Amino acid sequence: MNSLEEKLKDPRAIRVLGFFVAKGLLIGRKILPKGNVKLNLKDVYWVGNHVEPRVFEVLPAAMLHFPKTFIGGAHAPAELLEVIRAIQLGEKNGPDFMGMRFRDMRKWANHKTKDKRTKPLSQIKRNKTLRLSPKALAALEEKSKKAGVSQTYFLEMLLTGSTFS
Amino acid sequence: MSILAKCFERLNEAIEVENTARLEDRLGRNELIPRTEIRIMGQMSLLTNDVVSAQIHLIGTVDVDASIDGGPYSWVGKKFAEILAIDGLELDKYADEIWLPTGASFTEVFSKKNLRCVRLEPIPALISKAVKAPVKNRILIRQALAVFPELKPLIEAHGGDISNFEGEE
Repeated sequence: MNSLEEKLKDPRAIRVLGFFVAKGLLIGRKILPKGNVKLNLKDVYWVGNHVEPRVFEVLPAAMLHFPKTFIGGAHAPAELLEVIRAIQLGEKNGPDFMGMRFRDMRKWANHKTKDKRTKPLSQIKRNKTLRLSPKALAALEEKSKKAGVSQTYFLEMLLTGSTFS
Repeated sequence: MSILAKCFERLNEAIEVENTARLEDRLGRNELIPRTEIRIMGQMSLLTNDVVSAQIHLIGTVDVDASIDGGPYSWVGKKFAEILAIDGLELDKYADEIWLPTGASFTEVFSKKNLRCVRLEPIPALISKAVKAPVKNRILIRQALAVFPELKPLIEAHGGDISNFEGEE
């Protein structure tokens, strides 16, 4: 048995790789999917450093989509938080991380997984508070009702120039 | 090749349907899609190679590095991306930027009326990874060096630094 095979049998590797495979971010013939696990970031780093560096490529996307999975995620190393922040802000360029290119890490945040349960980051809606005049609010209410759509949908269609379906 | 085989099959059929529709377009506005070649490279070329994956423990992201006649934004490129997405795979739009050693050879893995697909041979795929992305591939290359003794001089001949893959993890 070579040392990589031994490392692949380590519980840390089984849990970390199993999680990423279960979420459709990694593929590997001999990896058993493990969707419902909690992962310690230290273990993720160990796997990335000793078993499969590609773990680092998909880690920022996984932390964005499944934040509760990662124990100690809020206290992640600054360079990882910086990558996550840049992806969240939709920046085109950002820092590389553990030998992985920002472009590649950003891609996985917008990847449509096979199970369709995870929305690409580019499609996740965010809150925005607007202060509108009573007149504008009344018009929004009236026009969206007339179009038979929600006020949010009405505004989205108006702003993006799409047609109401 | 099982991960991609059904995708190739679906794409071949999709091109057939599209060409039939174009033929029936009486205004003749669209040219028929010519037989297209797709060249699979990167990690997917190794993952889909049964001989390699039996000898090396392979893990990959779900992207497919595929160089497509007409490019990723052609009709075939877009349709291929759609078909891959059904299985949770992602077409890498930058596959044409992948550096390959001179004389890199491919093996045919799919050939039908509308589509021919070839896969990069493992040695050039490994040389490319070792030379251009040694950090990301250091564990993979370390395994490969034990399996393919010819790899070490080839990596060095193409300017790769073999010390990236020596020593304990």
